[in-house]
Amino acid sequence: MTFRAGHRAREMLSLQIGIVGAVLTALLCLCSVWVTPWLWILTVLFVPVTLVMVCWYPRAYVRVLRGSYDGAAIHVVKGVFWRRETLVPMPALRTFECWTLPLGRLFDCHTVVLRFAGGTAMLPMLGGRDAEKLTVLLSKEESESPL
Amino acid sequence: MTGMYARPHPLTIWYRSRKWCLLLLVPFVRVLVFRQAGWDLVFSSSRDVLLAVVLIAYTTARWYTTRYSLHDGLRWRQKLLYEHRLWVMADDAASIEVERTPLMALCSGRRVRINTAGLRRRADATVLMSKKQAARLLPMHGFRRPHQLCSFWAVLLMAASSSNAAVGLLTLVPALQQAARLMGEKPDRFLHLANEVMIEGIPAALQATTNILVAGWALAFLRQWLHFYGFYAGRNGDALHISSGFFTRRDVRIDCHKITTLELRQTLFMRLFGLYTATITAAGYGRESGTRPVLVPAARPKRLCQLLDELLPGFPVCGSCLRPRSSSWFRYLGAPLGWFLAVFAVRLLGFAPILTLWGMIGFGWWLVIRAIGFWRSGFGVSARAVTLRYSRGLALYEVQIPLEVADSIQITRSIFQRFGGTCTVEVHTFGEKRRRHRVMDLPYLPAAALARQLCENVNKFEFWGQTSKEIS
Repeated sequence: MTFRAGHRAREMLSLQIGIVGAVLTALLCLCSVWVTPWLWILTVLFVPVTLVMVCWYPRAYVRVLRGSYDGAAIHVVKGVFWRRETLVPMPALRTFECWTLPLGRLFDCHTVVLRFAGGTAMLPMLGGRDAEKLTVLLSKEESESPL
Repeated sequence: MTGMYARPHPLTIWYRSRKWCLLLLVPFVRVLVFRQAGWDLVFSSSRDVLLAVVLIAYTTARWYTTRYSLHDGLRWRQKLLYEHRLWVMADDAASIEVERTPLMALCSGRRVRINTAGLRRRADATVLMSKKQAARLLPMHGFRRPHQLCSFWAVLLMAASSSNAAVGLLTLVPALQQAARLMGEKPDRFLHLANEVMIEGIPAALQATTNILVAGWALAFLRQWLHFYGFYAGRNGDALHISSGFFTRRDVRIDCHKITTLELRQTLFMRLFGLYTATITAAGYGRESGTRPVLVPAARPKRLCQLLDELLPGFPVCGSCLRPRSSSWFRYLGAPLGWFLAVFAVRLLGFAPILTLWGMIGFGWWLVIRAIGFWRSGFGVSARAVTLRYSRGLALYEVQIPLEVADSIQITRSIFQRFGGTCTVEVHTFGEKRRRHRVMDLPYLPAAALARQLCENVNKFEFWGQTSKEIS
């Protein structure tokens, strides 16, 4: 089984970056007024950076995010600046969860969390269908496992 | 072992209430420091003494109402203001540690810590019991007579080079002393940085810092040496028995099935003498802060192999390794080389000759470690184990991980690494402390293939011990 980011993940990511950028810009403006006017330079730089991130980053992120599950291991690739590949052998998997935040429900984006003895791996922004299919396959594999 | 419940050793009262005894010193502090006298002193001292007495009485009452039993594991119950019960099953105990301080030796008591697998900062159960009870829990009979693993000088060398304060002693202390002297002798050079008051204060502060560093190293060295003095280890069936300590003797029993990794560590100082330290990661062992789960404190390769064959027979290892390309040298040596050259340039310009000399020695030391680390680095996968070799800080590591303990592998590539066709490989394992092992700048395609091979091998394999799932 292969999976990718949900088809509305780009919109959701754009909205999140936009909100964070707007809030940080507003905070910088306030600091420029209360602390020092030199911060206006930072504020002016921050606006185009936020715009670039809103337009470019979600597209790149969604393009990179992909994964596969072949019964032996889960393989996930994600990350734009730092490309991260995570492989989790099935015998190491302890539990798995699926989270959907309110914004995620609007855009049908889910986060699957894989927990193993030594840590956690997260699969963010999966589409609803892919997340459900993956969790069904994992639960089937876990129930058939002799452990 | 009977099912009867027994009360913990009375020493429990002392160890639990000794911090409250400090309150009894407060009246003396009031007299000596705050110069209180008269009724003020009487009232405030009564309050402090009464508080201490109440707390000590509460601790005594708690001890009186506490019971434990060693039937099929440990059962512990305490009932005073609230009821607390604890069960630790015998099968779940990953390690049992028996500690004997000089006070406990006098009073025939022992502190027993029982650890199970699981990510906790402290032992799952700690009980002070009589020497006889502790001997039943950790019987000495049945073990082949443990033998002393390492010579006196090997342990001394390991203690001298292992503590972080050793680095401070060798590099920072002389530099700070020279800086203090320089600033004190030539204040006019630094007038533009600070006013006269600050200049007068800095040399004294630097001098005090050097004294603290020297004292810190001496304490760390003494602590390490006393901790590993008379180090013994032996194996009986599926259990390892480790014993060490000068004033405080510690006996630890470790279930071999709970051993997750084997690590060989070497500092530059130890490399000069050809010595290695072998440590294990076992669920529950080495959980307390400041402890290192040592199996062999210091030994040369041939002796080390003999000892490991005896203590961990059949522990899976992987011999071959994928190594970084020679073109990756900058990634390994760039930082220490850059600092070394920067300090060298400052020296060439004639500033602070002694300070820069010691700086060059320190960064040179780091550079040598990184160079050796680059030469030795690698990542390998065999039918039963994963191996990683890397340098971290001022030490070199070689880690052997049984396949079933490798929880996940992460391959990370920055933008530059994507262009260069290299990657950083990180293996996550289950264990008490260091759970991540990382090798930098390996060729990407072979590393990804090895990672895939590891996942396939994990699925079709006979386990060395238990899977991390069973352990946890």
